[in-house]
Amino acid sequence: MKLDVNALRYLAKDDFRVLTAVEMGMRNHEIVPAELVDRIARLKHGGTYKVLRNLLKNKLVHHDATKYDGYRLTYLGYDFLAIKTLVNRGVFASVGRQIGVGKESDIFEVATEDGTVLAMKLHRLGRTSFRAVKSKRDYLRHRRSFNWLYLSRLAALKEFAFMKALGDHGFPVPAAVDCNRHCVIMSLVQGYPLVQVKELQNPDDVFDTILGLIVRLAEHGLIHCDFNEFNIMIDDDEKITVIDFPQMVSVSHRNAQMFFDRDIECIYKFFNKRFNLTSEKNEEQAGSESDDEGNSRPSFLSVKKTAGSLDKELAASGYTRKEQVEMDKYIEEDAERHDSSSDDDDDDDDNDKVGDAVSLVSLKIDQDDSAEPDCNLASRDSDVPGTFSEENETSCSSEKRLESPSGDNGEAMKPLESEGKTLSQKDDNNDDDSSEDADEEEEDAELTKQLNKQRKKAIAAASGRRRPVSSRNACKDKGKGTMNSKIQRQACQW
Amino acid sequence: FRLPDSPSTLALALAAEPEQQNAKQHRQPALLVQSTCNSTSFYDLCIAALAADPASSTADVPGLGAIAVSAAANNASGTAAFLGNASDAAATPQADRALLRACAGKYAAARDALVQARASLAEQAYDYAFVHVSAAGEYPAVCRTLFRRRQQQQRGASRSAYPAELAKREEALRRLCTIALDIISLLQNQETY
Repeated sequence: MKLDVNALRYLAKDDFRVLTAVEMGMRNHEIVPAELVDRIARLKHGGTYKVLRNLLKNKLVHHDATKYDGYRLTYLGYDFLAIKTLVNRGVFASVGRQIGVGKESDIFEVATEDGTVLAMKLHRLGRTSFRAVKSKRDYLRHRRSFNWLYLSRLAALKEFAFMKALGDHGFPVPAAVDCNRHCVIMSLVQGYPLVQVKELQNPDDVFDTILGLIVRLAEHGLIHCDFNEFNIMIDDDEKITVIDFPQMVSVSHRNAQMFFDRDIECIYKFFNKRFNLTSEKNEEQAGSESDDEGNSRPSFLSVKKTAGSLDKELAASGYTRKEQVEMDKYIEEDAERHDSSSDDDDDDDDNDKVGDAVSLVSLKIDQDDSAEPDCNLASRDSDVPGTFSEENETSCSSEKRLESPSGDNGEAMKPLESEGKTLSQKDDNNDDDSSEDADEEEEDAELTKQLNKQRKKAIAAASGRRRPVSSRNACKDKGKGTMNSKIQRQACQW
Repeated sequence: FRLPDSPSTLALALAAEPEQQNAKQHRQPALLVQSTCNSTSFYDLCIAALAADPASSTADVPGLGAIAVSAAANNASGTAAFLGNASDAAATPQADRALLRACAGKYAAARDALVQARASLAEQAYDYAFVHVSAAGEYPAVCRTLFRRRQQQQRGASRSAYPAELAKREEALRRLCTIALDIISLLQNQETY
């Protein structure tokens, strides 16, 4: 998703006031009645409707007059609220280019006043959820429609809380800088995703370090649950950084051992295949992957647990069990909606696409609903034709990233004054673009169709390309890597 | 069904025991508290709400605004708990429990908005604080809507009318939010000059 913060310079206090009023109204309404927006905003001299038109022009709100005159925030509108708040706090002063894209998040470079480059992660839960079937909002029957703002906020809160707690305990994670709404600001990690690295100087040491992290996490009461080459960054000195924590659970979770073993297995498989480790600890009996022969694989049961320490950290940071319960409900609700999609009574075309969606649901379920890893775009092997990294480079502009080393983005920024705050953005000549007042509801429907088409293409590509699948099948649970990377590339293009 | 009765609107707003109210009311409010409350729509309630917090005697106007917002947040939180307990009470009909839980959620949302308002005040982001308090004042209205909707679906003598106790609590929160909004408006005006 493109993030154009140019309009920020033109928005006044009343614009943000009304934008916030829409946000607050969405706590109880998917589409907020215009009169409610007016009552909440309480502009001194009126003018709420005029402001709403301006926000609509800048694509910060979406208008829906199907049942009543109503509005809701767009993702861009939510982005603006978070960015405005963080800029006012002095967390950063300029927004740069996009450096990552995930299934439910976008990552951008931002720069502080003194030129320090940080990473800004915008969570976008629900962006790729199947939307053909919508759950009905009925408070009296305990069914709830999950507000994408609220869920994205929860995801950001969780990530920030975990990042901070892990960092405070010495784990190699990005430094947690600040968090507002669905936006997390963290230190920029130098290096490359491990999945893109073809050679290591000391593979044994890196392997041991990664396994050590899995064990140490468990000693602190947590299982990562998605510890793989997509979530690990490595720099030129072969220093490791863990960059994503979407699925962490407590060691007391009923499936903790299974998750722990899966994480271990994933790392073993990746290192065996990518770096062909031949040390004794990696030797396995032919056809067997178990520890029956007494090799040195870490065992969940042998981990000495220091239960409670990170739980306390997380409670103090604001992310508590209540928030986790809300997230779990969303995951269950999302799965239910996917399962019920086959009952949809729309026209034949939609039914065909629903069929495709069912297939995707099955794939998702097979992956234990784990979130897709974020795609980081830098690559050591960008010149090698036909490689996974080159494909990523093409779709996600990593070449441009390489051409602009960290720290130089400030020079490419265009100054923007906003209530005394200087906010810059990359000059991409968007000033000449005319705004469109097309019906966004139709655009959403069209987007849904496009998403389904792209998913279908991704599946076809995955089934039709043997070598890429083989090269990416470093882990049993990542057998759908090709499809996933295709979706990520398409998401980047969108 | 009936919800348990409670004291007057003033007592609800203050969320304090009658004996404690009497003791606190004997304190002479600071001059700044008096002048600030003069700018609000509910002077007596404002005085009582601010005076209930000992910090008000030395607080500046932003501090008084924060105290007013906190008073509203505590009130909303109390009503959320009250409704939660009512929904779990043995005497509550099964069919009404979901309704009460939904209402409890609205007051919890109001409390959350007020917490956000307090954070915005701390950052001197008065416009945002204003909107958050304003939203908090609107959320309980959804509860009344839910009752009305339920009433329309029912027939006969067993219809769930909007409880008087709940109407009283809604009014208390509305007044506290109005006081907070008035004080924040003072801050906005000062900021403008």
